[in-house]
Amino acid sequence: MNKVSALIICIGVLCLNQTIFAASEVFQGSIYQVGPLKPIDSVPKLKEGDTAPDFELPAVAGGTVKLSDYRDKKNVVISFVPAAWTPVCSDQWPGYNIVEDIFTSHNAILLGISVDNIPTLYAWTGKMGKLWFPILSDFWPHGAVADRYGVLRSNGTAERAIFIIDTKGIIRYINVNDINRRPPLDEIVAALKKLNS
Amino acid sequence: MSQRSFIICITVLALMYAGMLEAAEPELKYNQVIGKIKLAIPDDTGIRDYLGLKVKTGQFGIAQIRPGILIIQIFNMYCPHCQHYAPTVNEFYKLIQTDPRLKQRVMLIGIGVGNSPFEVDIYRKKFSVMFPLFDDKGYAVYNTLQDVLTPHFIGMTLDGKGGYRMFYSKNGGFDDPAAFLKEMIRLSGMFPGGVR
Repeated sequence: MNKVSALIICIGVLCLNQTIFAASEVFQGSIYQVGPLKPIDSVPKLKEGDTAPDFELPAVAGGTVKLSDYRDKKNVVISFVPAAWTPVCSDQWPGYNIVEDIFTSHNAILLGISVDNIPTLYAWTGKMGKLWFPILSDFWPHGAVADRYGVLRSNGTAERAIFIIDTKGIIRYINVNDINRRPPLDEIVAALKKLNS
Repeated sequence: MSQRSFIICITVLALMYAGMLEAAEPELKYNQVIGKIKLAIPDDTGIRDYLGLKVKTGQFGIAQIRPGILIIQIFNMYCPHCQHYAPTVNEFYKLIQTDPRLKQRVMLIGIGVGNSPFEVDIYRKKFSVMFPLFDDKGYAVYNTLQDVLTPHFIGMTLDGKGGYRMFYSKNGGFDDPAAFLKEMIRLSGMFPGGVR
């Protein structure tokens, strides 16, 4: 690398040292800054209309949660987040926590999934207040569910992705979002409305 | 580029960066950029009147707001602390609105950084927020303020002619609305004899 290139990179690093997401003061000093990441780093394995692969994962609140237990009962919104104690992720589920009524009005349950282990998720989500929806650990076999859903990144974290599955177990909405940004709640709600129309 | 020039450039850049970090320390670091913030002019006539905005469409700058004290709450619908402090901020607004002297001269607005109008509306309804809230869907405000953590409160005085003076800027909420209001009034210097 010549010196001019090195200089340009230095300037670039200075310019890029801006976050593109909002950060909550509640996590001040606890968040590991990952910097801008490759927006999507996985290959899709599922498409809308497919049957959602079943899974059973341990929940932070104890016990396990099985996707097929909601069959014929509730629509399921799955929110995969990349990793605990990172930006964006830390300011995503707390937003869903104040819209339980929206999910309920669409006969939907929300399942939050991360590849972190239970103790890590316990400590992290404890900062978010009391969450009304289950938080599930896809830690072991590491990221197996994320992999089956085609959202396991090459570094072992998950994509920031939303899957909406209807009461028949059919995937009706997929959004593998830019990992650096939060999926707009507007789109999730619009997809839920479409589900019931 | 010679070896010497290269080393000088790197050194200058390093010093600039160190200077940026140093400059970021003072509490009023947003004083230089707050005037650049543009917000959408509200459709609601009552909000336009509250802020003294004469035009009905387009955008307005913070300094175009009528003379007085402006308190800005930088929030995020997704932020747990913003949710936690929302009732306290509502109480703060109520204290302002129920005091005839303050009501005329103190304004409170919220800006939902990185929030869409839909998300801001959810926050407004969930917490029964009565003061004007603005969205920042494109992260323009957030990127202007760069490293702001939510909630963050900014206090400034406006002269109604495009001039302003920031007197407060801090991350975090407050537990005592009356004490916070008293502090804002004191720091603003607009009511030398106090109001209560």
